[in-house]
Amino acid sequence: MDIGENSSTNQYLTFLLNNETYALPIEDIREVLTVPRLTHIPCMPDFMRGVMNLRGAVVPILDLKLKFGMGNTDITTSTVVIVIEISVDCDDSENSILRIGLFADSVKKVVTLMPDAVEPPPQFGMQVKTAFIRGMGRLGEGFTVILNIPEILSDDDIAEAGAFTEELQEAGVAAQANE
Amino acid sequence: MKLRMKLLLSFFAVALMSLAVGLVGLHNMSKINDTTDVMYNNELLGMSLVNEANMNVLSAARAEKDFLLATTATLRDSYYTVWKDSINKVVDLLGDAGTKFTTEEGQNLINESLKAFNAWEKVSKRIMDLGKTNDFAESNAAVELSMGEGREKLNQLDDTMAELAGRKDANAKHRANDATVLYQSSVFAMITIIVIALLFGIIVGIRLSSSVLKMVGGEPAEIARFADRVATGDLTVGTRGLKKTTGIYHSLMLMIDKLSGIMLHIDTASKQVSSGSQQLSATAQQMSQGATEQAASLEEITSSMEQMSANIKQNAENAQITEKIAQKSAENAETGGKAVDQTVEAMRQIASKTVIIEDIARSTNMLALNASIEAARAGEYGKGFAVVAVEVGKLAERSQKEAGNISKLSADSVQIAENAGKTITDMIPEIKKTAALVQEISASSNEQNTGVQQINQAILQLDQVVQQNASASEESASMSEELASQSEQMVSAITFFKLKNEAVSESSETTDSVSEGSEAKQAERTVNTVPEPNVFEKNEGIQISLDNDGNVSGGHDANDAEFREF
Repeated sequence: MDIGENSSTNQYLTFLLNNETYALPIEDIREVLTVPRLTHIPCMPDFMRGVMNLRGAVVPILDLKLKFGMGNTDITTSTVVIVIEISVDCDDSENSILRIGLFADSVKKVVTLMPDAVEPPPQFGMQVKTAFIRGMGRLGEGFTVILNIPEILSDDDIAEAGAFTEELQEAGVAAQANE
Repeated sequence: MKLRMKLLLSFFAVALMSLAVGLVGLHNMSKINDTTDVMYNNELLGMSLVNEANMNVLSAARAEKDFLLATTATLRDSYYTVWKDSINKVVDLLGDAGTKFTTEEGQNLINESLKAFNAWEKVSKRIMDLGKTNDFAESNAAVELSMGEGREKLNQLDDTMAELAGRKDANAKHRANDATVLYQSSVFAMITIIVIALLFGIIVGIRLSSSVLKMVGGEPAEIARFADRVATGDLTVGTRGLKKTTGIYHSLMLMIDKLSGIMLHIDTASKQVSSGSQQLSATAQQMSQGATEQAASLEEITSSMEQMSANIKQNAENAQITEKIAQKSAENAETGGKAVDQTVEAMRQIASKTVIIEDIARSTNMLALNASIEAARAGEYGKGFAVVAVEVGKLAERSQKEAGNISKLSADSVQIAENAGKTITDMIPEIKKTAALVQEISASSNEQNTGVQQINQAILQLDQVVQQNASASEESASMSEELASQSEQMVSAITFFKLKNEAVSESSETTDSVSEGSEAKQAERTVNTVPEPNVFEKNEGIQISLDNDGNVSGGHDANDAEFREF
């Protein structure tokens, strides 16, 4: 994986999870929202907190902290939902775009990290997977973990989310139509 | 002439006078006796003889008439003898009576009566002679009766009356004899009494004169001379031979001696009294001055008290005002507390409003972020927009920060305001307590006020007392001055007396010691010599030094017994 592959703009959105700063490439981000009304969906993994209505579209919401084993995200006034767009190779062989909302304790700002300011992810050994780390950005004194969203969301997850989304999309459209 | 001789002569004179009186009495008594005899012999017998003669004249006249009326010759003879007897008796009686009339007049009267009798006798003789020739009178019942029974009764009466007269005569004679006997016994008694009186007078005179001499004790002239000297104040009369003298003389000497001693004491004492009274006067004046100062001080105190009273009143009023102010403050504090509560509420509202601002800022920030994202996604075309988005984001961030500051400030303010409210709320009970305390102060000020008034009253009373004291001490000052002058008068009066023991007075500057009194007596001294210059100037008063036994240490002498020790 090339580091600078998808980061043509070198711009990142930084946010906080348990007071740790994480960053996402701005190209992956669709928008940032305050926490909307969540609809809980049964029979879903814990980290899938539910779905939201984004201008009529059904967007599943994923709790990164749960996913990372950092505990449940308590929804506060500063809690935001970062909506990301992932291009998924669907069975339809269409390059469809999947939108997923991520909970963040708070969003910080958009920063510019030149490629030389981004270190490759550290090697901890064979047992430790570091694929979800795209790189370590130098921001101030410390490092900022730049997340690799597609790696975080395993294919299963994405598929599940995608399928679910589509189903719900239709249902939600129907529901909206009914309303 | 000595008193004894005088007395004896007097008594002899009295005895002689009583002798003379007795003799005169005797003489007069014999005279009285003679007079009584004369009275009986001359006067009473004379009178009796004249009366008897008169009766015989009447008897002769009756016999003459009877003769004329006689009825018989025997009767005529018998009447004639009666007539004859009567005539003879008259002649005898008148002759006897003539001896009883000693005065010329009496003799003349006797002679006249004799002449008249002789004349009448001649006539009667002629009647009788003529009658002899007459016939006898005829007997009749009336003449019978007159001559018989009538005559008998008349004779009886005549006899009785003659007996009465005779009895009186005998009585008179008896009385005359009695008087003579009485005279004789009286003469004896009087002579006895005169002799006894003479003897008694002489004996009593001798005894009495010796007794009087013993009582007087000396010659009265000498005593009078001493008494005169004492009267002129001279007490220097010697008492030589006092032991031998007796009676008044002794008493006088003793009196002079004692008087002299007493005068010495009085002299000393009066001087002491004089100095003491002067000291008293000075002390009383000081006292008076002190009392006046007291009065002035009291007036000052009174004015101070009045000022204090005014201050206390002012305090009370101030306390009342303060109380009102405190109550007002409590109300204000309550209002302030409410205002603080409202402020806190307002702050809280502000804080809540800042939350909205923060929300808005967060939303703006979000919008800015989204705009940045959009700009980034737009690539090269979005660069300008990205700058704007960044600026908006910065604004949002600032807004958020300021809102946070405001929020923090308002939170702090709320805290402060709450503290203020709490402080004010805490203040209220304290202010109320202050109000209560001030009320108590007001009450106690009122009590103080009444207390001060009472004190004022007490001071007024005290002032009166002090003024009384002042006047009393002034009075006592004047009285002691008077006393001083009087004691000086006494001292000068005592100088009237010339005293013995003159010698010590020169050496007695310390007369104000009690012991001097006795010492002064021991030497010759005249009080009116020189008045001691120091006596009235010494202010130490009388120095009486007592030893342990409490006896006056000035030595003892015989005169101490006359004074009591205290």
